[in-house]
Amino acid sequence: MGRKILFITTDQQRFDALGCNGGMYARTPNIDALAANGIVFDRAHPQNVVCMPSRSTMLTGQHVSTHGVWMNGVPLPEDAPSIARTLHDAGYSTALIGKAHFEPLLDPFLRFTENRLGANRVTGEVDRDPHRGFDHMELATHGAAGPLHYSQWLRENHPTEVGGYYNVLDRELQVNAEGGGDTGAPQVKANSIPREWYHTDWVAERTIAWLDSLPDDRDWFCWMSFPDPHHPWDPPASELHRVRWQDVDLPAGYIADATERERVIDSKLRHWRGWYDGTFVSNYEAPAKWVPATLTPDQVREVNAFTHVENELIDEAIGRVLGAISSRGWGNDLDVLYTTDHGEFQGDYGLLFKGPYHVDSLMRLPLIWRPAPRLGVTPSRVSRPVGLVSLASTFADIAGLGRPNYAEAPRLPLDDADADALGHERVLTEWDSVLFGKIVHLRTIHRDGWTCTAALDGTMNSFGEGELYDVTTDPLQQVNRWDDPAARATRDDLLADLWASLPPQQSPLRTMDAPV
Amino acid sequence: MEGNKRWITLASGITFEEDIVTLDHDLRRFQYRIVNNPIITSHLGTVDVIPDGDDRCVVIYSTDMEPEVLALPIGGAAGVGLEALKARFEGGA
Repeated sequence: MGRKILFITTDQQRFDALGCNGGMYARTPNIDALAANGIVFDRAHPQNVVCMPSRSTMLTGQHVSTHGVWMNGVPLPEDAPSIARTLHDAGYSTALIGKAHFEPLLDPFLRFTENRLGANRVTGEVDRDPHRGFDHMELATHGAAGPLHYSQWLRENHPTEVGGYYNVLDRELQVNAEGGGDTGAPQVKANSIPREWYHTDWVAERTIAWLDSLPDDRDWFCWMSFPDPHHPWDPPASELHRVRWQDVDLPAGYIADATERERVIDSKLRHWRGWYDGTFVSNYEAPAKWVPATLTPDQVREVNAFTHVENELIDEAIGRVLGAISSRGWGNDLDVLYTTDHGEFQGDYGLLFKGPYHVDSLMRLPLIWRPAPRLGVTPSRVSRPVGLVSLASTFADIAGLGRPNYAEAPRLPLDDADADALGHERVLTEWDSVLFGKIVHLRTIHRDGWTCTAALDGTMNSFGEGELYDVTTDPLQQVNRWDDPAARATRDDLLADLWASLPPQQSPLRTMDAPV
Repeated sequence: MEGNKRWITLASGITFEEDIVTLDHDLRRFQYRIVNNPIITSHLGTVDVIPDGDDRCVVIYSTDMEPEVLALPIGGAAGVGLEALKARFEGGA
C-alpha cells in the first residue's frame, strides 16, 4: 500500500486565519495539530489571486501564462494537464468533493461538465474518461443557487433553507452589494440554515461517504474543497455566538485615519484608488455598486467575525474527516496538505474582497503539509518562498512518481535546506483583467523578503510603474518604494529576475465564456 | 412553434419564449427576440449569412441584450454553435 493523500482547500482565506499562524479568534485545533506535526510554509503565494486561475495552477502545476486560465470565466480546457489524472493513471482512486471551479459557474446552456454533473445528479459521466482524472466529483459553491450537487441536494431535501443564504446576484445579475447583519456590511447575512445542512458540513459528510466506499487496500487522492470563507459571509446564525463582532478588534492592516489611509492607497498603483472610490471594478466577483470608501470600522469587524466563525466550522469538519480516516486504519499512511486559493482584504487598507492588489492580504496564504506519520518527518517552518504551483509535483512525489513533465515547479520542501536544494528562491504571481473597459495587467515576484509588482500597459497603469515592498520591515506593505532611489538596485534586480523567470504567455488569450 | 413564436428549453431546463422578428431568405437574415422574461429585459438575436464566392459563406451571429452580464455566456454559446455549424458544412454532413 502507498500513501493516501487528503488535499484540503478553503476559498479566499488569509494566512492569519489559523491559530498556528497567529490567528487570535477562530479556534482551529485540528489544523493546528497538522501544523505542529508537519511543515508550515510562512511564505506561500498563489500564482493568481482569484479562484479559477489559482485552482487551475493547483491542478496543472503550471503558471497562469502556461495553463491560460487568466481570469474567472475562462474555462480550463478539458484536456489540460491534471495531477488527478496522473494519480488516477498510477492506480489511485481520485475524488474532488466541494468547490472545483475549473469551469464557469454561470452556465445556462450547461456547456461545462462540472455543471452538467450537478444538473444530472451524477458523480461522473458514463462512457467518458473521468473528468480531469477524478473518478468522483460531487460539487458545491457559495450558497444554494445553480446546478451543482449541494444546491440540488438542499433544494430537494430542505427547500425552505435555500432562502437562508445570501443572494449572490441582484435582480440585474450583478454581484449583490446589499448589506446585512447588524452593521449593513456588504454580502453579510445571518443564515437561518441548521449547521448540519450548511455546505461546510455537507462537504465533510460527502468526503467521508466517498472514503467509506473504498476498500481498505486502495490508495486514494481526495481533494476536499470547502467553499468558505469566501464571501458572501453567511454562516449559520446558530454559530455566530462563537465570535461576536463586538468583541473583535480591527485588523492591524486597517488604517483608521481616512487621510492616512488614502495617502497609503494613493502611493500604490492607480487602480487601488479607483477601487476605493468605487470608480473601478476589476473582476466580476466584487460588487460594482458598492464603494469601499464607505466601509465602516464596525462593518470590518462584523465581516471578520463572520469569517472567523466560518473558519471554525471548517476546522471542526476537518476533524471529523480525519477521525473517519483514522478509524479506517489509514492514519499512519496519510499525507495531508492544507491551503487555499487566494486571500481576502478583510478590512486591510479599508477594503474588502480581492482583485489586482498584490500584497500579503491576498497573496500570503496558509499552506501546511503533514507528511504520513510513518515517515517520521521532522516538523518545521519553511521561510523560503513557495507557490501553489508546487502542489502537483508534491502529490506526484508522495505517490512515488517523478515530477510530471508538465509541472513547472519542484515539489514543496521539507525545510529551508531542502528548499535551497530544490531551488525555491522566488515565487511569481500574475494578474490580467479586462472588465467594463478597465484593463489591468500585473506581474509580481517575491524574493529575498521583497515583493515587486510591475504594471504592464493598461487603462489604469502604464509599463514602468509598479510597487515595491520590503516585507520584512514593512509587513503591512504601506510604504511603496518603487521610486525610492535607495531601493533602485534591488528593484532592478528583482525586475530582471521576474522577466527572466516568467513563462511565455499563451497568445491570444483564451476566450472568457462567463463573468465567473 | 406557434405562429411567429417559439419556445426554446436549454439544457439547464430554462425555457425562453421567443418572437421571430425576421426570416428573410432573400436577405439571408434571421432575427429573434427573447420576450416575457423576468431577467432579460431587452434582446435581439441576429444571424446573417453573407455569400463569399460560389461555395463559401460567412455566418455572423450577433446579440444585443440587457443585462449585459449575460453577454459572455451568450457569446460563448453562440461561438460553440458557429463552430458546430462550420464543422457540419465542412464535413459535408
